[in-house]
Amino acid sequence: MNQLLQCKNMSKHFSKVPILQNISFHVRSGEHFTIVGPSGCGKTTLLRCLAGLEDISGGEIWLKQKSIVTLKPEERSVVLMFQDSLLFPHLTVIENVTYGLKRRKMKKKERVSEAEQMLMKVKLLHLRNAYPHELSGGQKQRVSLARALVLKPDLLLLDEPFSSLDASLRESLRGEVKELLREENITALFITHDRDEAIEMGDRLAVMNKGTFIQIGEPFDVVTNPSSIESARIIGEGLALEAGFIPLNKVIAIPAEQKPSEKDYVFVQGKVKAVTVKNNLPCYRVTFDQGSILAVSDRNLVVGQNVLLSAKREDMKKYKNQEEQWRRVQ
Amino acid sequence: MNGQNGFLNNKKRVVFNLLPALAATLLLVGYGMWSAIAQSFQSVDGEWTMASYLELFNSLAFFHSLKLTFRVAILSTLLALVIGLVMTRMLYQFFRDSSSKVLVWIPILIPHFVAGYLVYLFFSQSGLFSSLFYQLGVLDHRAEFPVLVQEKFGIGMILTYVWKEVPFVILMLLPVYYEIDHRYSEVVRTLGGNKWDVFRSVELPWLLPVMVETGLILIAFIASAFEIPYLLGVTRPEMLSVRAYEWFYDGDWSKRPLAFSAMILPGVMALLLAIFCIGAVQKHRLRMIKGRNR
Repeated sequence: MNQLLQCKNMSKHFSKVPILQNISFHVRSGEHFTIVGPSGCGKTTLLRCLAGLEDISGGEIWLKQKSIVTLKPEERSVVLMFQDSLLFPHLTVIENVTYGLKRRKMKKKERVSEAEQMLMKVKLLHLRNAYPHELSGGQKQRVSLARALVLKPDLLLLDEPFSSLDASLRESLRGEVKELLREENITALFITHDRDEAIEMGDRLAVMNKGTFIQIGEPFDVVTNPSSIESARIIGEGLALEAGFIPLNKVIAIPAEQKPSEKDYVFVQGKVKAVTVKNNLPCYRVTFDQGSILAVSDRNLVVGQNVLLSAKREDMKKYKNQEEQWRRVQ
Repeated sequence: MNGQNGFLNNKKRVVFNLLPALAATLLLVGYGMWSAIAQSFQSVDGEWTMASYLELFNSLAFFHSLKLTFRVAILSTLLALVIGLVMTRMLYQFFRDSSSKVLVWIPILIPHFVAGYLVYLFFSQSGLFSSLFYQLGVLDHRAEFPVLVQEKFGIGMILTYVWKEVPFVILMLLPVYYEIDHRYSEVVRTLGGNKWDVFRSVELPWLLPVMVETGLILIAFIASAFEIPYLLGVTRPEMLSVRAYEWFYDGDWSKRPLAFSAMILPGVMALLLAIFCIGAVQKHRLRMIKGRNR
């Protein structure tokens, strides 16, 4: 796959405060690239810079081997889908979906036909004449997706498009969206602060912190082998410690009084905050100094009980050398 | 008590509390309206008749006045709306954190009569602008300065109303601009639209209902206002309000029903226009409010 989007040393400052710092990455044609990071780390600013809604302070952006830094948003073949659906309230569903095509001066018959096909793909053709206020949250996001996809952009940017939806709808919709993007062969850059969403949606995953990428890789690799404690805290599925990372499936919660040998095991003191069920197994939300995880146990624990999060020392993975990791992912 | 205060439920209590205001409105305005309508259908002897309306419809002078009234009202309103809209569009960001918007409100504080006098002072052939151009050598004689006040088209009146009503338009539109979700503008841009599309697709749909209502208020006000046409108009044709005033205060009392009917006709027209326009924009407004992302 060829590189569709290339960003080289991209930076962005607001009043001399750096928001993006020398970001370099590429997205291949047809690839779904996910960026995950905590709130305020610069994800949305990055997307806005790519869409042309913000000027960059330095660096280069190449789309299909052409620099797009000086192009206005309407001149870039890039569509941004926002957190909210932002459908035009005075236009019907079909008018919303044909909006971009109309700007391209496409004939009415053609644009209606294309919009209807897209609405069929998002299963909303029967609502073509409805107004946005007559739609549910999920339907609105589907129309918003149809409005973006019907333009067949070179690059689709999705800014946490499911964050305003409830959990079950979010899960079902992200599966549908992923499938549709694949079907339409759309190159997508997707940002989220939801770990599960980031893993599920992306072919590759970048972890962002304080305006820069701290790790890029395949989702499984990033989640199970974080390159730093920051990356482990943001995306790692397990226990993120200064000394290394222990994958969640190797961690067990045991009552504090049953401490095994320190030679073979690593311990972290914690407290059970809640009991829940996951995959038909009882799980315990255990908080510790640097965060909280959902751990299993072979004992029956109760809320408020002091526990040890325990794992074999040999299961702890050392963080990779950052520079070496960086060279590998670029 | 669950919404009851012993002897009145919530709905009745609201009506009870509003009663003084309602009574004053209904008695003073309502009686005045009824009295005007009744007198327009009566002769001076108190007999019920349509004679005054028939006389109006057969009077060429009345139609000339009506034409002038509509021309001045509609042109002033349109110009005030367009200039007010352009100024609001340009200045709303600046006004957000600025006390300088007080400058724009100044014309609102000046009475219409004074505004009319200022226009006369500046734009008449013996006014300040003609003197200035004469002194600068642009004009050989002050009489060469175009006749802008007290002429048949009503330019002076239009100038005065535009100057007075533009701040009112800004006052009405400014809160709308602050309410608009400007993320929609970004949606338009990323979907390939330009700045004009942003205005048409994002701003105008929100502004339209307020502009229609503001336009209606201005048309109704200008069409029935008296001071400016009296000061800046010509003897013939005169605005309807001036004609009605003359009929009312003429020595001939038999003309009084004509004065009432001459003012009731534009009033009825404004009312019908208001019902039609508000009905048309209300559905649009509700759709906008319900459909916005909040």
